[in-house]
Amino acid sequence: MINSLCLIVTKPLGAELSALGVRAAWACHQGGFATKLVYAEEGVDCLAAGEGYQSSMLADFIAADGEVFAVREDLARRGLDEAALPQGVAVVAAAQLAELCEECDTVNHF
Amino acid sequence: MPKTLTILLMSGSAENEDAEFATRLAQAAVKKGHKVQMYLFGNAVNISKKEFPIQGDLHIQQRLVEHIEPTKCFGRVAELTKAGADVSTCHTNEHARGIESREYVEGVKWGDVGGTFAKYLMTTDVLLSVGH
Repeated sequence: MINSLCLIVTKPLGAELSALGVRAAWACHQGGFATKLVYAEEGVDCLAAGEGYQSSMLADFIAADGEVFAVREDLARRGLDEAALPQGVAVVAAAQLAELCEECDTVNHF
Repeated sequence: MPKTLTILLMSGSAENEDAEFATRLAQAAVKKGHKVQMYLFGNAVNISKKEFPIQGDLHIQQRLVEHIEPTKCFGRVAELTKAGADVSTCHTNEHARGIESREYVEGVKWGDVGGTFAKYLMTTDVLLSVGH
């Protein structure tokens, strides 16, 4: 049995895979699996969605104590302000990604 | 010792070779005695449905037909379920494509990420996501 997952979303807001990432994260979290949801590369755009399916799912995930991370370098590359991210998103350096992955039984990419 | 492999496939058979890789890997694992669970997510739901070929002239160049046909995975998915693999889909992604009511390839089951996929995670040794 897998107990913990790290789901890394690198696809932008308009790509179906990014929606599947947050949907899968929610399902895993609700199923009792320790779930980390990481936004990296173009995936950080999803954190600036404002409203819609992804932002509401993200809000629910965070409200249910789901762990969400964003990669600092990828935010900076796209001019996204860390202070404007949804409350509850932890900003991490790219170098810390490996540690997040090491803490989980499986790492999956969306 | 046999293990359980869960493959989360997120590509269909036309856009890249992920579906071919995943289904062939699943076949190899089953052949070695391992249990395989495959969850078809995103565009991978397209390989869960039976093909509806048109009648008559395809209006496609023969060399293009010969290029396309080997990429189709429908037959291999049916072979997988016949060999004991557990293959299910995300019905929401089927709905998004307007294909939810269409008939599944033999052995493929209706599923959802909150139920079916979560159950796969409870019983698997390895989770491999394939798609881009």
